[in-house]
Amino acid sequence: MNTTEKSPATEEPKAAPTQARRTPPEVVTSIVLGILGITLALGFTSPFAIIKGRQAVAKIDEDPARYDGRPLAMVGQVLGIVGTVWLVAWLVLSFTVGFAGIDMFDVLRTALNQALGPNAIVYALAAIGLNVHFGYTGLLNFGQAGFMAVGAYGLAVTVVTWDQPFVLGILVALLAPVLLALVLGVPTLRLRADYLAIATIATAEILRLVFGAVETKSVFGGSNGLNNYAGTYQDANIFRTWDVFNPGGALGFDRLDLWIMSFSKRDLWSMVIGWLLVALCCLVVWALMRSPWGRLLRAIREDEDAVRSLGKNVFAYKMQALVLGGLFGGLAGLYLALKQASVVPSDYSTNMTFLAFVALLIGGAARVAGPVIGAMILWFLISGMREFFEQATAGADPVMPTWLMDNTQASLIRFVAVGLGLMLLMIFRPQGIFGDRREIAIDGR
Amino acid sequence: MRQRVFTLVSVVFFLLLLQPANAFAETTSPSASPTAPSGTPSDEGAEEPLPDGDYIRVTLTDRDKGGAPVPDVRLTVAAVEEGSEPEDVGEDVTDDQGIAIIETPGPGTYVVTLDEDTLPDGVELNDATSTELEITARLGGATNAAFPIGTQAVNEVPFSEKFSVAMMSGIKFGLLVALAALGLSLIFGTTGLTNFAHGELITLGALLAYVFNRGIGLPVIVAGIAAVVASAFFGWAQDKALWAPLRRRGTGLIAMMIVSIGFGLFLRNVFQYTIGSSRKSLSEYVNQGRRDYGPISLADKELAIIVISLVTITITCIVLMRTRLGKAMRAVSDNPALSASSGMKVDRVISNVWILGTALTGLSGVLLAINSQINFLMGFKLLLLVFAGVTLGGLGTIWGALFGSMVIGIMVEVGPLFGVPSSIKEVGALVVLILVLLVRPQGILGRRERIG
Amino acid sequence: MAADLGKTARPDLTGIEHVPGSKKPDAIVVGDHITRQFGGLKAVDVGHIEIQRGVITALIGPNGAGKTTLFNLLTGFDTPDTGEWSFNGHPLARVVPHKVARLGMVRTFQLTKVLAKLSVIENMRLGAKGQSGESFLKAALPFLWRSEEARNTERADELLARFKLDAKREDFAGSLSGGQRKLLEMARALMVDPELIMLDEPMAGVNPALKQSLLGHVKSLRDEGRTVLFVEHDMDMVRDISDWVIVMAQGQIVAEGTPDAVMADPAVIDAYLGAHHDTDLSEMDEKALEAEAEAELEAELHDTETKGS
Repeated sequence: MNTTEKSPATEEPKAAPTQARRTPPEVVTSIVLGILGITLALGFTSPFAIIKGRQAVAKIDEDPARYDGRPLAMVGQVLGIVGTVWLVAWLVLSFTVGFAGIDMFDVLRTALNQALGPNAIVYALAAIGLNVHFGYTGLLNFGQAGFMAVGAYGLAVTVVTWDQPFVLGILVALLAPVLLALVLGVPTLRLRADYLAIATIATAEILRLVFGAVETKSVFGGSNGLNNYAGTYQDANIFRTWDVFNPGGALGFDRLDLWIMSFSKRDLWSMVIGWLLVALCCLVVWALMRSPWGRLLRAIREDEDAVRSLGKNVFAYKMQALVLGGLFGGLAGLYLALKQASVVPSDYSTNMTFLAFVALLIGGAARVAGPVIGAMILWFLISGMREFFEQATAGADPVMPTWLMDNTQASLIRFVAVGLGLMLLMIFRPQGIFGDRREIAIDGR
Repeated sequence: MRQRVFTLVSVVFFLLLLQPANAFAETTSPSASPTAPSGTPSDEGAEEPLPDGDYIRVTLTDRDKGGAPVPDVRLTVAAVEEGSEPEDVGEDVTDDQGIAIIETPGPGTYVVTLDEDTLPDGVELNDATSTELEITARLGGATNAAFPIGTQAVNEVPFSEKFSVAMMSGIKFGLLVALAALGLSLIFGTTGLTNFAHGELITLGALLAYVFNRGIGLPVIVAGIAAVVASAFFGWAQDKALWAPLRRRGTGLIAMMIVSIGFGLFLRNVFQYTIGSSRKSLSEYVNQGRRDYGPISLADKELAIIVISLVTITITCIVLMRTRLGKAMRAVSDNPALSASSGMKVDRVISNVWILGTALTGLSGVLLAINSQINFLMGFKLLLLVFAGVTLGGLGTIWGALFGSMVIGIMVEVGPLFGVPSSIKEVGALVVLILVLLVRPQGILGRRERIG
Repeated sequence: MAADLGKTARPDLTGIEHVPGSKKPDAIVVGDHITRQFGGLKAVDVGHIEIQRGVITALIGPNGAGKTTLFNLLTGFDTPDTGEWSFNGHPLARVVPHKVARLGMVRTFQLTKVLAKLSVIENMRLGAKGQSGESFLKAALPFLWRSEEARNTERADELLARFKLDAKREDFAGSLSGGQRKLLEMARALMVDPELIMLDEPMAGVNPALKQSLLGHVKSLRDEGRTVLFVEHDMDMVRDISDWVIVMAQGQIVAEGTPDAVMADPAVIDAYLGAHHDTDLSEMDEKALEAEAEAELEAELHDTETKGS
């Protein structure tokens, strides 16, 4: 009857130092070199960023009691690796295929523009929402595109179809994802993780199909979607009407060109708004997740029954998390609708959700900045790859042999890579770049 | 309990939101002008915004009615290039004025195809009219084209006949879904993996059949068989190369599910890379006339599809019920640990399940290819319906998957007769999926750990 | 009455009849006709049960006797087919688990459910009741909950010190040994400040060295005025610390009484060795296992059905 099993008596307490830890100087050096590497220094400082980063990590690991800043050192290393890969590719290609067709500088510029531009912001916002759902609470929401769609259509339908003021449209756009979360949450939050995934993915598809249907064209605009609602947003563009040096006059340039980066005034405006939104959302997530409320979500992620047994209403907390993350998703949709001034149902496909997941997993789930960094890296990579292969296949006599790849196939390589990347990431580094393996939600279960 | 009531109320509310669409679909008739329901004056004269880039503007008129515009017909535009097959660029539905606007990539030759099924009830094309119109766009910007058609009235088909036709195609579709669902259910049952790359296994079957048929030149039937065999091999290979190592590492189910999403994304884009984004068809059995069998009429290939599916499903069920392999599979799905400790080679059983499951799914793809066309997205589009079928019947049970898939297939095809907008007929099935999750979650749930 | 129990047992217990379902003078839990059927098997079929307040009651019985299922039923983690029961006079039928816990009836689990990826102190803080920082609207404003959090932390630290876990304060709970996990789970349950604490096999998987201190902790719970109900296989522990023993077999209560009396009861020996002494023991074990497996399977299904509704 005695079911005693031997458990190793590891009673020896580990050193639990609590004195202030500091960041080794190598960390900063590594990051500076890394950033220089992928921008001004064209990759030449990147190998040094890796070396410094490695030294920093070694130092921290040797005496974790004295030093911290390991994630930052990792950032330095990653920047270094990205820059070095780029440097090597650039050098190799420059010298082997000559400068035939591929302008690596242009590739880098496109990649950087996209990593900082509005597209990355859309994915960052969506992934922040998924982080609340999946990263912190363990809810596998595969219907983030649905939340985005109701946000976007909330604005467009209010302004275009119902002819209501813009401000009301924004309110509807923020309210719609909350309502969707409530309606969706009641039946689905009881389900096991993978069924929740199927239910949410189905809901998102239903919404997309209904929004794009011929029969609902009078409301949602059919497959062409809706536009002509973003005037207020465009008119508020400060770069159009305002200039620090010349108050009252229009800004004295059409595009902002900063050698390696170039943005139109329209994008610049969207970036200001977008990054403010991202910062705000991150702040909210950060503030909430360090509170007892955030602790509860992480506890639910691990074991609902344990939390129930302590007298906590698990369902209510899951619902709150679903609503909050859905709201961020709706915000992403709203932002997408504003920055591109049209809503088209095909934008809100399942692929959108999957890519947002990729962004989250690259950066690291259950980390405040994870989704943001992840979205930037994702866009850097996919737009860089696109530009590279477009150039390699462009023109009458492309660099890439046409039997291997033609111009239409060039844009697919990046998604092939994303698919592969997602698999490898999940298998070898499920915690992403910043995550802590001991703390992630994904193993087990 | 309050939550459940609240949910029901919310669902009803949601359905009410959809109601205008349904009501509107029912009132569609040749005489009405259906794009804008009367009573919403703001819609009248509201024109579609014109695209910024190049586009084709087709005006569809009925010359037998004095050139009256024909609204609500779906037109698909495909680009025609020398030496390659037409590639779809877009589609639109004609508005009140019979106008449809489709964006195009630039100057070139295009073929506009009319979807006969979307013609108003009681009207069909007369013999002098083709469903296709070739347009050459020489300049950028707008290219206008007139598409005059001739129509003739036909007798309104009685409801019972429409119903039996829809029912038949529902059964056919249901069987195709069932084949794929059987594969999914087998794999889920033994490994617990919710495979989001399952849709791609359907596409793979179709694509392999296309490659064997058009690429190597085998007759369709031989190509189909070869495709199923190759699918089975792919199932074995992907288990050995991907899933078995992951199982050995002790990777969690959720992580595996995300890996399957990546795998699906990868395969989808590889497929598109290989065959492009247009629809392809096999070399034989493309356009077959229908024969009458009592109250129903079926093309030979449709009959063959139904018979092949039924036979395959029956054989599979017998195999699972009677043979050692089947018993081993069920044992592993019941309790892998116990099966392993009682001397069963669990890995071999799982490997067999992957082979069988992928072969069944590949067959479903082959039959779909014969039934209609091949496209890199065909399986992905079907994935949710397969999920719905499996979930509806109760996961892990063979009979559940079959029953659920038939229900889904029939719902999708028969739904439009009862007011489900036909352009989004899959929605009905997905709504059912969610409702089932709401009222009968135990029907769809696998095992949970014991509490305590 | 056994002499060695005299020093801790409440005098109330002396007059109680040693029969299944006997009346207690001051019952904290009273249950009637609680049944739970899994397929063809009645996992739990309890006609009447009373748990005396302020004492340690042990629930024993062979594998598959329905002890854990009864725990699940009483705490709302599973729903019975029939039956009513109350806690402190509150009817509990169809009350969801978290509400049961809030009333002051907190359980632990046979397979410990410490939150491995939270630190030990975070596990403890989680247990505190009525935290305003757990409200979504207040969570983002730390000044609203900081002092309360500090008070909870203080209490948690006291409990950790009492359970000798203070050295592990900042470690991930996942790094604890089996026995430490049991301790942590018990300490965490105390953060809820329960009137009745229900321990499901607190000794299972515990290092023998830790057993004595665990026993001491369980006794100290009673000494501070809480009621303890625990499921246990370890007869030494049962004899050592319980004031009253309830014996279950095949879903029913077959005997009740003080530890010594119960251990001498032929009905109990029957229950453990099989009602027919001549039947093969291994066969009986197999049946019990089968029943248990079936019960589990059904519990899963049923559990998902009732979850969250």
